[in-house]
Amino acid sequence: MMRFAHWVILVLAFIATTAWLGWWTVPLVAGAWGITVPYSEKPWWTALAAAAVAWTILLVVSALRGPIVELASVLGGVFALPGFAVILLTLAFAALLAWSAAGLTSALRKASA
Amino acid sequence: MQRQRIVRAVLSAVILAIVLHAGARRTGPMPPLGPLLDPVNGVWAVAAGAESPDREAFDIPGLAAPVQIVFDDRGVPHIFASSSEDAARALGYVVARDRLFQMEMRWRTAAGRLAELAGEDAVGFDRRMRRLGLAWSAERDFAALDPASAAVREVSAYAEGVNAWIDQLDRRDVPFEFRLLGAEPSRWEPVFSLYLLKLMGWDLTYGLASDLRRLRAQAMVGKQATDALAPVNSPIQQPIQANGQTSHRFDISRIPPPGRPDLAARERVSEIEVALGLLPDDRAGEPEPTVLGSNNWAVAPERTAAGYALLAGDPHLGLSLPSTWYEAHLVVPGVLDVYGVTFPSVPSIVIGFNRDIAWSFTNTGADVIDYYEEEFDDPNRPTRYRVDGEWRELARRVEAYRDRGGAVLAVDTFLVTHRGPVVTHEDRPLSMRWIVLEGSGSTDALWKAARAASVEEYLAAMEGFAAPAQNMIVADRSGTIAIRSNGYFPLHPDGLGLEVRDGRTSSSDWVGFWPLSRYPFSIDPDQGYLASANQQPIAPRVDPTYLGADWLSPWRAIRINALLAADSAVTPDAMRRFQTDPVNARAEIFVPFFSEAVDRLAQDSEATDAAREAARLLAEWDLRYTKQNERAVLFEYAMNELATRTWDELLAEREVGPARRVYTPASAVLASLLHQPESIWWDDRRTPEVEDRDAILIASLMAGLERARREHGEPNEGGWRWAGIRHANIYHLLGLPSLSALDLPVQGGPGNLNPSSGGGTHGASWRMVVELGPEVRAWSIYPGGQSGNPVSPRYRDRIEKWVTGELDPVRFPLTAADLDSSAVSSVLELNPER
Repeated sequence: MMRFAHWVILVLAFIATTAWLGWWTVPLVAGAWGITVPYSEKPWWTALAAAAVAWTILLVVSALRGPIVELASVLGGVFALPGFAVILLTLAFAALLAWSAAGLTSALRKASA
Repeated sequence: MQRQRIVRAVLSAVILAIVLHAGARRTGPMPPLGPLLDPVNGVWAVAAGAESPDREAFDIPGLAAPVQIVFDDRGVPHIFASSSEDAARALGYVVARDRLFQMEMRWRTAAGRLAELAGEDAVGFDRRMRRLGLAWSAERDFAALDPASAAVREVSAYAEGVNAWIDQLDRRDVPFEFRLLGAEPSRWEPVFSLYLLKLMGWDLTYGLASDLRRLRAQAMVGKQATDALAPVNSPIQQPIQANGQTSHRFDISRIPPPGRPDLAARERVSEIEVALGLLPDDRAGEPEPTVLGSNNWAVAPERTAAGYALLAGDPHLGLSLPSTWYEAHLVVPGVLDVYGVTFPSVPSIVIGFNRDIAWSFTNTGADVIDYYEEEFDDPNRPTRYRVDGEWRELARRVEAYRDRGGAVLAVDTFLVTHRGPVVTHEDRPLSMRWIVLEGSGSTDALWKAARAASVEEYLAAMEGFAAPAQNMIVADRSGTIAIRSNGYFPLHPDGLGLEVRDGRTSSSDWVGFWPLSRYPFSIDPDQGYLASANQQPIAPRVDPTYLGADWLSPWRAIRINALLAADSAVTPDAMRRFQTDPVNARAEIFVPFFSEAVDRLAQDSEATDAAREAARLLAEWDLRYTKQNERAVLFEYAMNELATRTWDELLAEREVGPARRVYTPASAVLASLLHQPESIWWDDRRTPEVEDRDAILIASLMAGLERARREHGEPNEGGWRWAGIRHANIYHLLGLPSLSALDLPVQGGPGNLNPSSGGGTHGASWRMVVELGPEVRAWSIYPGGQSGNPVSPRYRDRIEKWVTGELDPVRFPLTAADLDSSAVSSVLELNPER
């Protein structure tokens, strides 16, 4: 239960820092997560999931304020991709940032321990 | 385990580095992905700006008093201000809110500074624009204006309004295109408004291209033939200045046979094209480019059903999304109450109406440019040029091209003579005098015109409008209608403006300008209507003074004059229908010649079955270009074949690919050649036979049928429908298909009042009908929408009606309270910043 609560806090941290400061906070938060959580708990996967969920929530909030699906379609047209692929690309971008940053800091922490 | 951790650390570091790099740095054409994909501050935030809140209020600097802006149900801002400057400030604010990227593109295009937005690939284009000196001349004009003048105050206030929007710009409000390019909006300078007027001058001055086209024809068939193929006076006369004729008149002169190639002309073309960019070839198999253009007309009260003057205008320009125009209503009680369209960048209504008058423009196409061959003291490092045996200093402009980050990519030094910029100086230096680069007076004229209360006041206001010269039609509530071809028209020393002149003598310089009293002009003519469609403004029998030589084909003028002459009780709805009238005057002239040629052959029993079938199919045509029409395509293909076969002397063979068509004489010239059936021009030199007119007409008709069958199937299977053949294509400013409106079926073909041709990228950029009764009523449409946000419902909401030729009724309230709440989409209050 506590683990889940921590993970929810991580999701909230991703949401808050992205909204207030920008995309580049994702690897910082994930890096901090990697340092905090024991290596044995594979923090890179929880960071990946939390970042993806956080950005999904942010996209859903954006969708409440405007036509996200149409925008995805327009963007898809620009990049010669289907609209949903642009949404997936967005989530994958955040997930990869979080996964790699958490994986790196976690491994470094373990190595230095 | 240890090894696994090392592998994990390395793998994570590598992936993190890659993703961070893609997130923070540009990769090829891709912008940095981080700022782009950020779900809050990135491109996704654009969705939140798709619709405006019902009510907003902002404080902006510079305002003298609060301004109320009511957006109606078509997204048109009705700006209620207490001073002209505040109205301009508010207009700048709302136009920037809706069209900021378009404004950025426009000023950068004019200034030759696209590389700073789009990167090094744009340097070539930038170089050509800077060589023309549009921004340089705009800055010179602006510096010469009286800073205390009303026009300058308005331009400055407009800039403050734009910057007020930019200053408030949240990262979430940055337009979509800036995000794609990974760029930020620039601060708006007042002079940028003048850039736009210069850019329009460039767009509408045919001289740059037409002199070159003429020279290219001369390179192939000699000067004498070129003078006949590209005549100074239109071979079909239906001038803008009413001349008492009720229909058009052929002024036919014999076209001499093709002469020898002119090698000097060929060399000159090559030099100019190196300097100013390659002139595109006419497309073989397409109509000549002069069938496209703008229309305007006005009808006097005695010929309208309601007894009020009517005015219609539909300027045709390159189509784009966002649209060229922005629709707005500016109200300053007791001072200004004007409605119409403005270019995003310009603080005035350019085409529109107020409570007393309405006006619209078509391009005059006068010859306002000349080239001069100069002599430099040193071809490699010139500092002086010779005039009348004396050396004069060359002025210099040193300009740097920068990339996105501000790094210098290249530096050019541009030379300027007393005539204007030197456009090429490698072997034979060439300078250019172009009226667009000289003081335009346009800003001040537009400012005054919006406040005019009668035709007389409007014409007085526009006296100072120098460039680009326009056929300005105007009507007022008293029932007066008038038209004047208005701009600064140079008087050339030899009475013509077609040759590259000898710059070594001042006797080559312009000797003055047309006096206003001689401008082509009509007011309240007996015929009860006036019209222009870019045709020759004044009949050479009335005034033979050289005004230009690039008059667009007269087909649209012939048709609108016929429609207006035939209707003595014109209604606003008829005016609307005329704007997309499907009948084609060009077809009315050519179709009988095709049919009679086959008939004559049939009398000799030589007509083949194919020729008879083609003639039968053409005879089924009602000469209309409706979307459902299934015969217009046959005529078009036959006409294209006719041009290709008749003007084969103007096809330049290439080592690879089809021959280039370097010049296409106007279809009016071809129409006059129809009256010279034995002319050698009819012969297609690519065949062993020597053909005459009828033989080429028949061969063209049969080839047209063959092409129609090949490309669209049998005549009655549906494939020949015009809707499936000719389309309008409205591209986004960056050419992105997903942001464009493509393959739009349209009513109209080459030479129609709603002309379509080629790639479908030109068309009616704005359609307006105004009835000047006790209460002014108006209807309008343009192809696009008010918003530049591609996911806004107002990005392209007007296109459907534009395609069908419908117009929206315009709301023209006296006060904000006069707008019914159901007609209000949102309200914006701008207050003075404390």
